[in-house]
Amino acid sequence: MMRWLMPVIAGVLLGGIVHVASLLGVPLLAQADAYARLKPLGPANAFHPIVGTGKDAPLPGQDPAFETLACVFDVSDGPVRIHVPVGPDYMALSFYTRPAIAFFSLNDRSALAGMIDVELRGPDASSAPVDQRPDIIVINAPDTTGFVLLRGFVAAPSYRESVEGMLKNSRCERAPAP
Amino acid sequence: MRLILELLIVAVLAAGIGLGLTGWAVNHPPMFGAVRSGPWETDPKIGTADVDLYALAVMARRGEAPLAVGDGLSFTAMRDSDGRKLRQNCTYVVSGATPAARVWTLFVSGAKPAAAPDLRRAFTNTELTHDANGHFRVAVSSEVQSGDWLPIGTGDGRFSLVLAVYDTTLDALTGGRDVPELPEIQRTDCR
Repeated sequence: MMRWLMPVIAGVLLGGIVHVASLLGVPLLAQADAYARLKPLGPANAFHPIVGTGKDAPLPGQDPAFETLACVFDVSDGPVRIHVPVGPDYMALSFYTRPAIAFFSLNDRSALAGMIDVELRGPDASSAPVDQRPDIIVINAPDTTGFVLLRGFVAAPSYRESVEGMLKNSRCERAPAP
Repeated sequence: MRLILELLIVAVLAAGIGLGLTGWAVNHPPMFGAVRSGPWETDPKIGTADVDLYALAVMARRGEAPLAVGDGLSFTAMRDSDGRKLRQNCTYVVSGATPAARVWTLFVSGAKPAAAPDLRRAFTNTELTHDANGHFRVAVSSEVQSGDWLPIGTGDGRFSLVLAVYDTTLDALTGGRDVPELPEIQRTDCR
């Protein structure tokens, strides 16, 4: 009996390592994670609306009381600028790395003069902002790729069209060259 | 011969235990560090850079993105206040004091939405009616209900309720207590 104990203990210990390694691998190997689902919506560095909230929607599990725009970003060739005019209702801008780790978020209360203006830069972009103005919020992304979600609260169904219209005026685009 | 057998035991055990645990964990999220209040639970770290490996793996598999912590927190209930699984063939009443948040919503997940596309999909804090004590009362059912009614699809499958609170923090919600006071979910009847 004892002679089988060693391989069993070794197997269990190794199982723990396999578990952690495979757990780390799930986000790397997942075929349909948030980033992979948002990428086909359109070109990178531009906002695209997310339609639907069900399991097969571009981004499942979203609150149906919100209108959402997504911008898949790539800051490897330079910063990305995000302009969001805010309305009277709640609105939030959240930044995610490729494996959907939220690294920054702000909401309409951070707006200056009715506008949220963000310059998103890569992890090593340490130079001065392209367009140096005090009302621009500069964010350094931990990675060169990821995505941004702009979510506008629809207080009641009758407000949906006005929130949609409000969101249409926001822009996610490559920052102009200095 | 014996060495081969021993190595085989090690390999089979390692693969079985390791991959089995991973497979189980992504389908039954262990929710480490979850904050629970009655039937509601949330992972306060899911919308931060400190999110744990399990939550990250589950989100990758479902294709979801969490609410960033600066945006809000979402509480999920899979059972009623008496611990029974939420089922689409039952009627539930969600009631209580309104959470201390500027904006909050109540919606159904994990079930097909009500068939009619023009039916309500979520309740927001501005739409609910309140009684003299400032409490609200929403009936969740696949059949028409009087008062505030959140429709769900017909069937007898399980579903979850989500209470999402925005522009607030867990500390603001709990107000010095250990856990926030969230609405009750009472089952009234089943078909």
